[in-house]
Amino acid sequence: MSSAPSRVATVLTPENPALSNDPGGTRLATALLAGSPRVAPVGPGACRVDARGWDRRGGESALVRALREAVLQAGFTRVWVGVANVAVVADAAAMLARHHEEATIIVSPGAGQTFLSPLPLSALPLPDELRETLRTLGFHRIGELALRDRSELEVRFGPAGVQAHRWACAEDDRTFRSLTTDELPESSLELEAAADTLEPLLFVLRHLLHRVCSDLLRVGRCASRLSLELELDGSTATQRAKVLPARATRREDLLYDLCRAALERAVDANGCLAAPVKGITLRVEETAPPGARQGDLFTGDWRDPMAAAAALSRLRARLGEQAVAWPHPRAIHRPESRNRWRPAASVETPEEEKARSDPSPGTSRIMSADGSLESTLHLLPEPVEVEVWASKGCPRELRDRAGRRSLIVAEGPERLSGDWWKDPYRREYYRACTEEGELLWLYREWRGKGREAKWWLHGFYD
Amino acid sequence: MRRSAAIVELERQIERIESIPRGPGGSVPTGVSSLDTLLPGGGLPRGQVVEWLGPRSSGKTSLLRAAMASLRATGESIALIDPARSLYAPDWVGLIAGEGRFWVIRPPDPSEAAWCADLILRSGAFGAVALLASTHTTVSEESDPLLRRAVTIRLQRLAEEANAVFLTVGHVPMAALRLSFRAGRVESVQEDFGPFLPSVRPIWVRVGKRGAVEVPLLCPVSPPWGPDAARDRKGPAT
Repeated sequence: MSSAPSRVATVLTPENPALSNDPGGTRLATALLAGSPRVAPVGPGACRVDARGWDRRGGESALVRALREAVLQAGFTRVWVGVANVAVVADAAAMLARHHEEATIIVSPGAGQTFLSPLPLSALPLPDELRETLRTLGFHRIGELALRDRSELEVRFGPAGVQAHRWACAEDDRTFRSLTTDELPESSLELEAAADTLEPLLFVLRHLLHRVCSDLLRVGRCASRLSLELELDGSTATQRAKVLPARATRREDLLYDLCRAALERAVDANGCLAAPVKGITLRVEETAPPGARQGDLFTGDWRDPMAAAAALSRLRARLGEQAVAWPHPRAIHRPESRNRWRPAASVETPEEEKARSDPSPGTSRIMSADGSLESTLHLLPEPVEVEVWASKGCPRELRDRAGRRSLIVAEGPERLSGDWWKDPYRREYYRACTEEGELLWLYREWRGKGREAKWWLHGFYD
Repeated sequence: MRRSAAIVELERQIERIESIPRGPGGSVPTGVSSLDTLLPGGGLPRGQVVEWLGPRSSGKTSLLRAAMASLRATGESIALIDPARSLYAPDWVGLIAGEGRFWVIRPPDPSEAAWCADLILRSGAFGAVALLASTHTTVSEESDPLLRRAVTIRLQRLAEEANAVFLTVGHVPMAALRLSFRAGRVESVQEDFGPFLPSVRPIWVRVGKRGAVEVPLLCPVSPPWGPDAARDRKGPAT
């Protein structure tokens, strides 16, 4: 038994999902399920619906009525519908309906090419570059393109030209299952000749990013982690680089900057790659729903979180992942091990959200109840050896690079030891105040076989 | 609603929108009320460069943390640039809780700190940016400037455009406001087991030429590895 001929309805709404409260297109898609079980988001405020199966329920007119009512009830202000045999004609019909302020345009089966023929090339989803080239060559209407021989277009434009001709002839084999939210977009390209400089890779990168971002747009997701894989010429080895935007995004320009910075780290001072590259793959490893927030007209000092995310991403791309950090102390007594900073996450997990609202116990307060400030500690990156004169075990004088200073009071010792199984340490810490008012954090440690004690300056309070 | 009533309502809303101050200006409290009364505008000025000078242990970082917490409570995003990479993580955990965002930038090369400040201010998305000194010595007017004059002017313009507070813990040329810190004398407390630090020591904060205010700063009591550890008053090991 053959299946019913394909019928597709394209539904457009005027809302920009990036600014509305339907960022992933979920609300629109859910509403359209009232008319058909097969619904696919295809872009901002746009969905395709399988239009078959309404023959005994009033036909396509009834389907369109049901779809329109469901969408308007879901809170959308306006809706346009195009119905045709294939997706490219249905999309063009919906766009034409929006242009002419008509609610619906239904294209009869078999009339797809005739319908498309007088429409401008912009009604086809062609790449901008190809569309401009075709216009330069004198093609303005879709019908003019359909009249050409397909092989001519193949010779001149390759697969893109063939695809354009197929669409112009109302042939479209795109199905509803193009990409689901479970699939992670990726794009790769093999270079005609191995590249040993960055320029060819950057040229290809733009193309890969366009494809990946289009896929992300189609499923209403943003990339929170990507990877770049360089296939090296003459070996099976690959070189990988991670790209972590500070906030999930599908902005091509921002992701291009980050990928470019990641690639630039792989070249030497002369701008040459360590080994010639014959292929490049851009892979989205993790996605997240779009998190764009709308600005508030009534708030004068509203700040764009996406601008903050872009700035932080650029910092990380240039300075390294660890350079943009959040404090994340470990439950370890050794101070230098406890002092841990972790890279600021691009997307917060529920645990991180909880950690932000519930700081871990044992962390200091900022101000006491009576309004006194709590002291903060500066921990030197490496303890500095100092000379200390002690009386009855307590430090009284100290000499370091700044000179010799008296300690008017030294409180301690706070004994600390541990890690006997790998890197044992045994220290006595003192908080000591100099005559000038400096509050230092010193320790005495027994190191080496002779177990001779040495004094170290570990930090100071400020 | 009749058409005329709708128009009146719209006009009222437009007036409300127009009355919202949008230009640069305003100030943010430091979190220490006695200091805020001394500051012009009742707090740290937005859109200007504020320099904090003083020797080690004069309370600069403690007050900076209080000011950051106060600003963060308003929901603003804050960036703290720490080229010396000496901030102690447990002291700053409190700032990542709640609304708004707090980020610490730890450039591997201290010379990139000014570039970091430029990028962050230029985004216009941060309410405050603090640039710490890259050394641990006393910072005073006689010290080498933290930023060159041309760089300071550029960052000042960016802070003005972003209407953000830009703090430098270190001397910069042409700062609009200077806060000078000085630690008060510490008197030891005699107990049976020997002298101890007092629980509070005063610090003095001078606001330009407008006068100085005393701010109490708690001496660290619990060791920085956590308040669960008890103070050991036994004699030192020999």
